[in-house]
Amino acid sequence: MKKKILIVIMCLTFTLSALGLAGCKQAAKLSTSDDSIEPKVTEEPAETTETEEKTKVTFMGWGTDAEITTFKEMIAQYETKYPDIDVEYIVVADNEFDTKLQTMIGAGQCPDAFYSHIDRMMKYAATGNLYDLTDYVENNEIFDPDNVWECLINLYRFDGNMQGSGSIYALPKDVSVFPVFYNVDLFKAAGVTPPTIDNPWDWNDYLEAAKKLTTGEGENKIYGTGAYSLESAVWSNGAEWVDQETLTKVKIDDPAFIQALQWCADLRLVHGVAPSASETESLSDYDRFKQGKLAMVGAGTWSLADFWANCDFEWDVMNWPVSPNTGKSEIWFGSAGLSVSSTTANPEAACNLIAYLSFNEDAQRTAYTMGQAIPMLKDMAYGEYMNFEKPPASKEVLFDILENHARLATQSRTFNQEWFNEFNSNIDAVFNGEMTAQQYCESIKDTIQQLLDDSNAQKAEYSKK
Amino acid sequence: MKRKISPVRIIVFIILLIGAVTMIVPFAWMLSTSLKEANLVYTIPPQWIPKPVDWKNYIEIWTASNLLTGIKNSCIISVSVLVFCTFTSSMAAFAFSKLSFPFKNAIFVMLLTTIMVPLVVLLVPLFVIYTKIGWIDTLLPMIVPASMCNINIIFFLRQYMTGLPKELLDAAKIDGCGYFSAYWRIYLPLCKPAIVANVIMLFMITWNDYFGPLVFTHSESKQNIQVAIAMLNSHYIQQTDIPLMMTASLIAILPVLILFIICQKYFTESFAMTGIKG
Amino acid sequence: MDCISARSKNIKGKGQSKLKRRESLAGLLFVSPTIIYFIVFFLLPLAVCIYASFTNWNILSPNRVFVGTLNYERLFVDPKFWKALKNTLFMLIPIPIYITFALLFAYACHKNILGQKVFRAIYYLPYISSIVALTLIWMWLFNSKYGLVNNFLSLFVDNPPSWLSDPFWTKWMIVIMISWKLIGFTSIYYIAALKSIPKSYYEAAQIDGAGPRQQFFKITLPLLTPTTFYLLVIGMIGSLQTFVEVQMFAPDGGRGYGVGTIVFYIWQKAFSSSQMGYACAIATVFGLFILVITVIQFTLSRKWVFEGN
Repeated sequence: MKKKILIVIMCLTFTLSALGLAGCKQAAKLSTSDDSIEPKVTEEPAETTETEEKTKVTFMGWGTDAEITTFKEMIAQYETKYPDIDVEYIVVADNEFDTKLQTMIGAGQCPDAFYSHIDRMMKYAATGNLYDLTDYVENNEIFDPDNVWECLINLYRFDGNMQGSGSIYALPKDVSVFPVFYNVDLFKAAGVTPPTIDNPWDWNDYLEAAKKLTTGEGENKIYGTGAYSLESAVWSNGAEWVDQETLTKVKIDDPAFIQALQWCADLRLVHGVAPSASETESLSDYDRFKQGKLAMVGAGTWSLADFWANCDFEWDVMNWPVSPNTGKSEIWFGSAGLSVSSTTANPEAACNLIAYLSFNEDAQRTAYTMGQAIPMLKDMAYGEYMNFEKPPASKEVLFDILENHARLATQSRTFNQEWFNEFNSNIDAVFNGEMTAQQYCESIKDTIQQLLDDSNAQKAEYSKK
Repeated sequence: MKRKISPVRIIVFIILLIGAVTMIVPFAWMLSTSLKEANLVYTIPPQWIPKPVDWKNYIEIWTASNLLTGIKNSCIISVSVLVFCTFTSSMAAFAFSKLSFPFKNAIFVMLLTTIMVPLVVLLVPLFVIYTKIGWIDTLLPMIVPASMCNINIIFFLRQYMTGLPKELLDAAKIDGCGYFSAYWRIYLPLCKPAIVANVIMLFMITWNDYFGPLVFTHSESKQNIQVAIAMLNSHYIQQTDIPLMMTASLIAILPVLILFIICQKYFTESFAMTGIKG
Repeated sequence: MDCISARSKNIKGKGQSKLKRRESLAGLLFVSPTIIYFIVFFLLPLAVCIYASFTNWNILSPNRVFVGTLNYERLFVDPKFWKALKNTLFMLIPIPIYITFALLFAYACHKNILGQKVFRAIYYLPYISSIVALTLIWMWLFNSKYGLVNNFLSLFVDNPPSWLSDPFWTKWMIVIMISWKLIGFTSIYYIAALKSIPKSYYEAAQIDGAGPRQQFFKITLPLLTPTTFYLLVIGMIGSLQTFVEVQMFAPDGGRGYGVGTIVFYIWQKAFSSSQMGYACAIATVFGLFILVITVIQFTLSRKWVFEGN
């Protein structure tokens, strides 16, 4: 009989311990979650002195080790400046960030402030998860909006239908432009003179240069150029994936579009100045450039630190060439934003935090001296940054691109990017020469249109209040 | 032991040898790469013995990542799960194999369905549950559910215990033992070899768990080792330090490997003794 | 032992119902943690999932509208779903491969092949490594130019495949990886099962004049069928849920969605496209699909699984 009691006790202990544990934890959690809902409630009622009343703000982001270190430091500074605020910094791997953020939102546990990817900002804004920052930007104590490029602020506007106008839902954490990086040593050896801002190359000049720069065989093969930015080619040629007014009509069968795509593919197929698909797979254009085996590659300014550390040759940046048909050059620019949750209990503290992290002068300075980003404050960009000793030498090119040639990518303006991913998922067929640009665009147009329609339908559905 | 040397044996031996080489090469390659300088990774033909041997990754890894915390948390999780899950699962297996109670088969089939539904869709509901009971950003979501049962182990031990004579239970009852002490004093000790084997498998599964810790914990202090390693790989894709990643992977494998080598004997022998019949 | 069983038989007659009640109680108590697990950590979330499959839930906004069976209707005309299903079925290929090799390996070990202890340790190595670590190594091994595999292959063929960019080869790479990983682990079950076959069976066969080959096919194989069955069931459930490999090797599902599996598609729909309702519908249908396959396996098992003993 004793034994039987023992069984019962053992089993009950275990099953109840699981539940009991849950219960205890729930009680514990309840008290902490009260803190976040009502910041005035102190954590420990026994110590009701004013200094103990800390507001807790959670902030979730991703980043490289260097970026995380910088952010930790900035957050510590912020906490010193606002001593009544306690920031909890959550770091998530970038490829898992969206999954995690959505799970948290789905469970009603959205962090107070978080990174906002440019492509996905609209999704979160349309579903009412982002705090409207418009008023805050106008009247805040941390930064002067006039000292920031307007296009950067406008990047995160959304009017319920289109990105780029309306209320502000995020502040730019950084800006990255995407110039052509080139190997100065290889240029000198091949006798190629790089273009300047006032005297840009057109596509033909670029191709001629690439031909001169392509040398060697086998292991010593040096290619003139990496894969050419298709966005730049298409936009510069006056074409578009999708009509810009309504974002509803796929236009990839436009001859100007097809011409641009074919031109990019021909760099590899006809002229042999760019690595083939299988060569790219084994060693990316980017790594090939770092090893000095590629003369020109499109890369973002987030790579500066890597180039400083790992390139043992001289390099610089230049503008993307203009299309000979239109005489203009366009390229996208990238940015990650910082948003505040619409459900935050402490909008003011959260807004101040993201503004501090985005526009703090020290943070900007740290970012550029560490090679993570270029400054977003105009006075700093045109002031001290120009005298910064590390490459690129032609820093003015970066800001010329930002001011005159950069735009928000079309795929970032649509509600989701599935149509764009679908377009890219088979594009190798063109770059391998299995299909011409014309055949490819015609074959895939209907599918793309369908996905774009889905994207717009989804936007309409989600934006419904 | 006397061995006939027949041609068949030689052929089989050679096949097994080739197999063994393919099994071990990736690990040797990982070790070799982890000792290389970053730029030596891209050489053709591949270098097996790096020149120079570069140990710096093994030093750098501890500062470049959150590995130490990861190992600590993984240990906490693994040990708790091992202790509790072995207990609960063997108890359930005992009940399924030796006792008759209502809905026995229905319950068993129900359990089997738990491994048929993809975890990804249960993620959000689970997150809600864990939020409600305050488990988010603690190690509990990795510990408690896993401690309550593991269907594979129940399945496995059930097969094993079915093979043990039922008479032992009847005898125990006559001697005045309750069901629990029949389980605790008689069947559990008899299952020891099978349990040791399962402990290793369970440790492997728990140690290698990635998705749960990723979603249910936030702070660095709660990351497990797999998340800490994945963080190394996730930084902007273009800038991957292959030797460093290989070092981290190797360190992640090491604890299981050591445990496995120590328990090798039990691992193989115990399965042999279990006489599982599917 | 005989004496014990005699005593137990003796006692069975009396007080049966009372004993039975106690036994039921004990049994239920013993499985109670399991049942609680099932209800709290499986049934509850599953109910949410099934409910969500009838709504347009997107995770991000709290308001979900009931849409009836719309998600289910959509599924049948979704070409990507069918592509994903095809890719998922492709992942069944490793099962016969690793089961066959595991059986051969186990049989060789059973016959005391030279160095079997070392072989065993080596063959189990892949299984104990974490998937995160393994995929990192494999990506590096199968690099089309600097990887070991293609360096080896280029000794024999001119153009070794681009494993990571051509979906056809990516799928085969995953097949190879899964087979490679599971041979050792699977063989453990066979080694154990082989040892449990009584020697007397073989002795009897030898007396009847059966050669080694006949012994293998007439005795060994049939007696291994319960193990094979268990491995098939568990293997199929696992293979049909292939996910991490795809996520690591083809984060966008591969060219023309040539690699993406169903579970990968569910994950994409739930978290990249914010269509949780639809993802839940796919998961429900797919869970049922696995259930049906498993039930079929159990039904068919009566035809070929040896149930002697």
